[in-house]
This record gives sequence, C-alpha cells and structure tokens, in this order.
Amino acid sequence: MKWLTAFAVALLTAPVLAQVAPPPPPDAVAAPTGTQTANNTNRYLLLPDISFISMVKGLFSSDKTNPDRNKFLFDSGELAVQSFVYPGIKQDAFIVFGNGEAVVEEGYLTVQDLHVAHLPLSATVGRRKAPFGRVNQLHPHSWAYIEPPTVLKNLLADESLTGDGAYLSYLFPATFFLQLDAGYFGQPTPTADIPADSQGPTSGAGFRDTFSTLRLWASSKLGSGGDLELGTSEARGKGIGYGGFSPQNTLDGLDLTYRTTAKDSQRVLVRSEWLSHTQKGGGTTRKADGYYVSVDKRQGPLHSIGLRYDDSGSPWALGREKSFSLIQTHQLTEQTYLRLQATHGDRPGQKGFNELRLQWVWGVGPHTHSLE
Amino acid sequence: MEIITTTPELAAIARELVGNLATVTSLAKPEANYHQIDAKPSDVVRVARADVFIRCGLDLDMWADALLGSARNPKVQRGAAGYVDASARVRKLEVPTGGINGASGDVHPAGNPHYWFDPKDAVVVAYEILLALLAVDKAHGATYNANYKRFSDEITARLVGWTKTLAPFKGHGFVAYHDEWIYFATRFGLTPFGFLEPKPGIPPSGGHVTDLIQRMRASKVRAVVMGSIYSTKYADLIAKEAGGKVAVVPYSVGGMGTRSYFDYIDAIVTGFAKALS
Repeated sequence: MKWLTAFAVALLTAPVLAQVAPPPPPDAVAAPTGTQTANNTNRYLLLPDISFISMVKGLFSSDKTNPDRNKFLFDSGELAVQSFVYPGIKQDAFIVFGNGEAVVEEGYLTVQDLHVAHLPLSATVGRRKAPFGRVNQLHPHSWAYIEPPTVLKNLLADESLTGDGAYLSYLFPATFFLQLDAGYFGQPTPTADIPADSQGPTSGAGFRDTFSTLRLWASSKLGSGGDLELGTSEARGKGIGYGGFSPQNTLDGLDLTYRTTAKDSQRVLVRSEWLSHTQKGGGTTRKADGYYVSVDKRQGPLHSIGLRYDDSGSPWALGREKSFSLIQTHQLTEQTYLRLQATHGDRPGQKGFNELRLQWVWGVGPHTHSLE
Repeated sequence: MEIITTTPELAAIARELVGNLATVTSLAKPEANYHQIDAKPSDVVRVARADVFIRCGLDLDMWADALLGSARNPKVQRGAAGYVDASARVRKLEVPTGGINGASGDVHPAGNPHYWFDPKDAVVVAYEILLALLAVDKAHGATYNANYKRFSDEITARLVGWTKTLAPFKGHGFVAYHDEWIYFATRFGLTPFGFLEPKPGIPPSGGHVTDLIQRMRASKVRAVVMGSIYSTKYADLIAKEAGGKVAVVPYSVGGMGTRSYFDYIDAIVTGFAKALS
C-alpha cells in the first residue's frame, strides 16, 4: 500500500498550472455591475425583453380590383417576448395583431448547443419561419422593402413559409462560414383538399400539411471588405389536394448576397434569389420559377435607396409578372423608419401597372433577431 | 489564441495586453457607426473560433447578441470565462434617473456608453480584459500582468501631458455632433455646451442648429468638435455663423491614421486643443 500512498501524494502535489493572481484593481474601478446589491426595485431584472413594433401601410395603385387601393391601413403590431430560460436555451415569442385577430406568428425554443460530441449543433423547436432561402426568416420590419419580391409570394408564401416543427442547425468547423439547416414542419390543421371546380391556391408553395427543408449556406470575406454569401435550399412536402389527386411539391432555391461597408453606416447590399417550384402528381408535372435582383445603398445612418427587378411565374396561374421597384428608406431612429416603394411592371391581365406603397414602422423596447 | 472585440478601441486595448500572444480582431471596422453594424455570417465564424469575446456593453453593441447566439461557442457565451463586458467596472455617467422613451432619443438606459474616451477608463477596461486572459490562458499570466502594468503606467505618464495640453481650457464649453464626450470632458474638466443632434440619435434640424448658434454667440462658445464619421455640413455653418473653430477628431482607433489607443487619444486631445484655442 506504500506505493499507492506515495502515488496519491505525488498526484496531489504535482505542479499544476498555477493561477497567476491579478494585480489590485485600478483606482477608477466601480463595483462590477453583477455584484451590485439587489433590492425590491431589481425585480424588473427578471422580466424578459418585451417590445412592440407597429406598422402602417399605404397603397396607391392602378389596379382598381385591389380592395386596399388608395388607403392607409394599420398593417400589424408585433409583440415580442424574448429571454433565456436556461443557460444556452432561449425562447422567442412573436404575437402579431392585425385584421382583428391575434396570432402567434412564431413561438420557439432554441438550444444553442446540443453538446453532441462537441459538434456546433443547435436545435430549434416550435412555430418558426422555416430556414429556406435568404430572407424567409426575416420579419417584415427587418425587410429592405415593403412588398416582398414576386417570386417569394408566388412560389414560397405571401409573407413567409412558416410551420410547427423543429430544425437542426450545424455550423461546420471551417475557416469560412458554412452552415447546414435541416427542418421538419407541419401545420396545426392540414389544408383541406380543393374540389376540381373550385379555385385553387393563388400564391405560395401550397404544402398541404408537413414539409421538410434543407438549407446549406456559405459566406466568406472577399478581399478588403466585401462579404459574399451563397445559399441553396430545398423544401419538399405533399401539395394541397386538387381535383382528386395529391401532388408532391418540391421547392428549390439559390441565393446570393454581396455586401460591402464603408465609413459611418454606408453599405451596399446586392441580393438575388432564384426559386423553382415543381408539382408532380396525377401523371403530370407543373413547373414555375422566378427570381429577383436587388441593390440597396445605405448612404449613412438615415437614408438608403434601393432598386429591385422581379421576374416570376406562378404555380397557380399562367404568365409571368415582371417589374421594377424603386425603394427609398428614411430612418428616423434605430427602431423607426419611413419607406416608399414605387413599382412599375406587367403582370397577367395588367400591362403597365403602377403601384406606390408607403410604410411607417415604429417600435419600442429591446428587440433582437438572428442574422439580418 | 483568438480575441474578437466589437469595436476597434477595445481591440487596441486588448492588443496592448496580449502583444504577439493572440490575434485580435474587431468586428466593427474603424470609422463604422457602432450603432449600425450588420451582424454577418462571416462574423459568426470569427466568434465561433474565439477564445475571448470583448464587447462594449451598455446597449451600444446589441448586434453582438445575434452573433453570439449563431456562433454557439460555449467559451464566449455570457457568463463564460472568455466573455468580457468591458463596461462592467466602469463608473457609468449620464445614467437616466427618470423614465426614458422614444421622445428622449436613443438614450442608453444603463448610461452613456462612450467610456473609452477617458484614458483612465481604458485602464479599467484593460483590467477587465486582464481578468479574462488570466482565466483563459493561465500559462502566460505573468506576461499579461506585466503588459497590463506597462499599459497602465503609460496611460498614467501620458495623462500628465494630455492634462497639461487641455489645462488652459478647463471649464470651456464645446459643441459636438453626438453626446459622446462626457467621459472625456469629465476627465479633462471641459464642458459639453450642446450637440448638433437635438437628442441622441436624432439628426440635426435647421431650427435646432439656428438656436444652437444663437446660444453659442450669447455664451461666447466657439469650439466645435466632430467625430470623423459625421458630415461637417452643419459644423461648418456653425463655425461661420458663430465664429467658431471646427476640429475633426478620429471616431475610431484606425481612423485618421491612428494605429494605437495612445495615437487615438493624442489626436483627440490635439483636436480639442485646436478647437478650443
């Protein structure tokens, strides 16, 4: 046993990496924020981040069939409640008020690190805008436009492709940004089949219930300042039953973003997305595709100007819509801005249409989202 | 070892402590407006690889939260040894005591976040960084301690010269674009007289600038100091109408040819002296 005792003593007295003591703190040091004495007024520290963002929109259009024409309407108010609920686990809830109802637009829990074999793997569970394409997960107040690109409305969703489910996000341990997102989502109530003599969906991907998504995106710095992002996405699921058969819908996407920044808040953002929608079923295959290209120049903290070209078909109608938009944004504060979007183009049944949209967004309270 | 900071000033202070023992990178480029930084995927990779993450805090760099969340690097998450809120031990100024809301402008609820302009606070920041370095990289603890002492001593020595340069202007008023000089002014006994922004983050208006010119004339305040990212359009107008002097000073370490924290404060002190003389 002597050797065992000697071994234990040797272990305990082995030179460990000694902790070097810090010097005394400098004169101006105040008590660290975290050690200040708690009292009753500190109960507010338990509150989550609560914010409310409102949006008013106006539309002036040559389309006399549009019921929102020549009106300013309260579009929506977004109440956000965000907080960590456990170390490394965050909850986000976004309740949207509009059109006389309140809906949970998103409500999800994100586990930032699943601790699976030291892999940088995170999981999100709940109702979430699906990780498809570059802008689908952005909220309308974070968009660089008022009216979404036609291809996104026609092939993806009016606002964004959202579902109840989960997705995993894997950040590759590479020298550049490379991330894979894989998700599986469903709807609380599957969309009912549509009889053959009724009008089918008019926009969106047209998933009946569940769908899966896969997105791979990469980003790297180019030279002295620009950032290039490339992404590819796919979504698959059963389509809305129509005329007695249930098609299989597949949505593919490619996206490209280039961004460069300069002095103050100056930034140029070039972005393009291409989407393709395929419906297979009943012995037929229907395809539609489209794209947009946009350039947005932020000239300083207050102004940005953008130009966008849209060209898109639709899975639900014949013909293509092509348009140019000029977008001007005036930032009043960090959370308040005014935007104007003027669009001219051709769409099936409306040659040379003109639209002028106005938007006023304002917000209060701390509000955070994932990457722009 | 890799150190990521949110601003170039924090990077400059961190470099003084680590020397060649680590690479230090700022997410915000010099001369970028720190209130409006895009959190980009390429930055996620940097934060994912970081051993130490240093942020300004006081709600100036809230955009860093999106990066920390996306990077999912346990070494630098809030509460980890490699996470540094550089403001933690700084004595905060202009902490709002009443209610604040949108009518107050972009007021930071925990206090004015531009503390790095006070060289003494740079030492406080360096101390906060030192504690993280000692916890993360024990092997080089003695070097970090020595570098910290050298930095602190050099600040003390240079402060004598900076104070001497600005001593003739003690109590003098100056006008700036944004309310970002309170820590600097408090250290050197200067008086912020007014700002081109009517409220923090609210752009100047003609009426406000006219009123400011009249008040400057009445109080014989002539110095206008502008951070290098701001347009000098209104400052030049003020200089003309109120007989003032405009000095442009670097907004960031790396701006206007500055390379270190010492260069930066040198240039700012020189700029203030020029405007106030």
